[in-house]
Amino acid sequence: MENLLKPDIGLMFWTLVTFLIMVVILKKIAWGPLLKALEDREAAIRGEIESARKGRLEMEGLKADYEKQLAGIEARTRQMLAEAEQKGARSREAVLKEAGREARAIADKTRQQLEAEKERLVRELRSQVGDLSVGIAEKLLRQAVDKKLQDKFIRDFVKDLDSRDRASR
Amino acid sequence: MNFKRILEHDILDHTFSSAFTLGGVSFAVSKHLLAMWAACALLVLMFVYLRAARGATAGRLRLLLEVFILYIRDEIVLSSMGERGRKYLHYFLTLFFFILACNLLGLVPGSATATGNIAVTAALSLCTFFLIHIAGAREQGLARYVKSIVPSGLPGWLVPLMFPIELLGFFTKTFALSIRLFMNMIAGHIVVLAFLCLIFIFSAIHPWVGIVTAPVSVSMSLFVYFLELLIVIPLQAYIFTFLTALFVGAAVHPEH
Repeated sequence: MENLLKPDIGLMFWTLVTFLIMVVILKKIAWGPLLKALEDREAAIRGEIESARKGRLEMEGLKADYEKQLAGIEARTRQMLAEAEQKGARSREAVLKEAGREARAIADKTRQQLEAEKERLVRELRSQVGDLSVGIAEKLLRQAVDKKLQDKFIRDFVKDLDSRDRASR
Repeated sequence: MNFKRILEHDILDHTFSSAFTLGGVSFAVSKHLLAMWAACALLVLMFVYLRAARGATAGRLRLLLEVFILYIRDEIVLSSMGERGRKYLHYFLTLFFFILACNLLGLVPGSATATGNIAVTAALSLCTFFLIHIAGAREQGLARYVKSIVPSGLPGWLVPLMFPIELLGFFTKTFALSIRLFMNMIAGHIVVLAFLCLIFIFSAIHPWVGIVTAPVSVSMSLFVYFLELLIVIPLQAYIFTFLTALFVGAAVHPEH
């Protein structure tokens, strides 16, 4: 049992030799290929993650682009609608104004025509009334009054009518 | 019934034939050396098989090994040495699997535990000792490494005192490393043997006492056996590798 804690130099030597040879052998046949496979796989996974992230970024960029475009289209649509509305309002106003003016013009013209007609009628009536009354007066005064007096009388009568008419207006 | 003789038979090394003798030191082929070579041969065979085979079994074995390799790479070597550890990765992987294979082979009946021999663990920790200094000198340059042995920021008069202490520290660290592995490996074996010897000791009192003791002893020694297989053996391989990485890491990065 005393040998338990007494290292055997020969075995130490063999252990050193064996272990160092194992380091070399296993590096060649085991760790090299295994570590390389592991690292390749890790690199592949990293690459995939990277490409996935890049894809997502791209998608997000596209989405933002589309959203911007959509917003632009919407804004333009709104603007066009507002413009059309304005234009419509403007043209309605113009049409209304025109119509009002025309209507007023028609009314004015009509009133003028009516006025003229009325005046003509009044004048006609007046001359007829004059003629009629002169006829009546002539019939009444045929005998007594001579033609000259008769004319003077009619003129006076008409003047009187005119002045009365003017006063009444 | 001599417990001491049984222990000597099972725990100690047995020389078969002397290969050659040099200066009074015999470089003999012994039981532990053969066990070690067998463990190495198994390792080499396993990796050769892994390279050649393409089946599901080989795939599962490869996955299992990758778990160990990844753990050693990320949690032991790279975490204690940083990116510089990649150069030494194959050393630590070999160290771990070498110790693990020797430990496991020791559990096979009729075989022997090479790592339960102080000469083997001493040789391994000697490799650690040299690796610490070689890596330190290689990564930092010799002059800077020697200077970094003494922690920086120390008062000037303490340096002559601290330098021998730190040097001694290297020896104690590696010495503890070898003793730890050696003791852990033989302790379990001694306990198993002790439980089994109890049967014979008690049957010397009376055969019936021995028969009654047998189931208890066998189940206890089985318990210790599985404790060794599942906990002690992987743990000791891990601890040896981890501490070596820690020491080498400290030599490579003195500031940590």
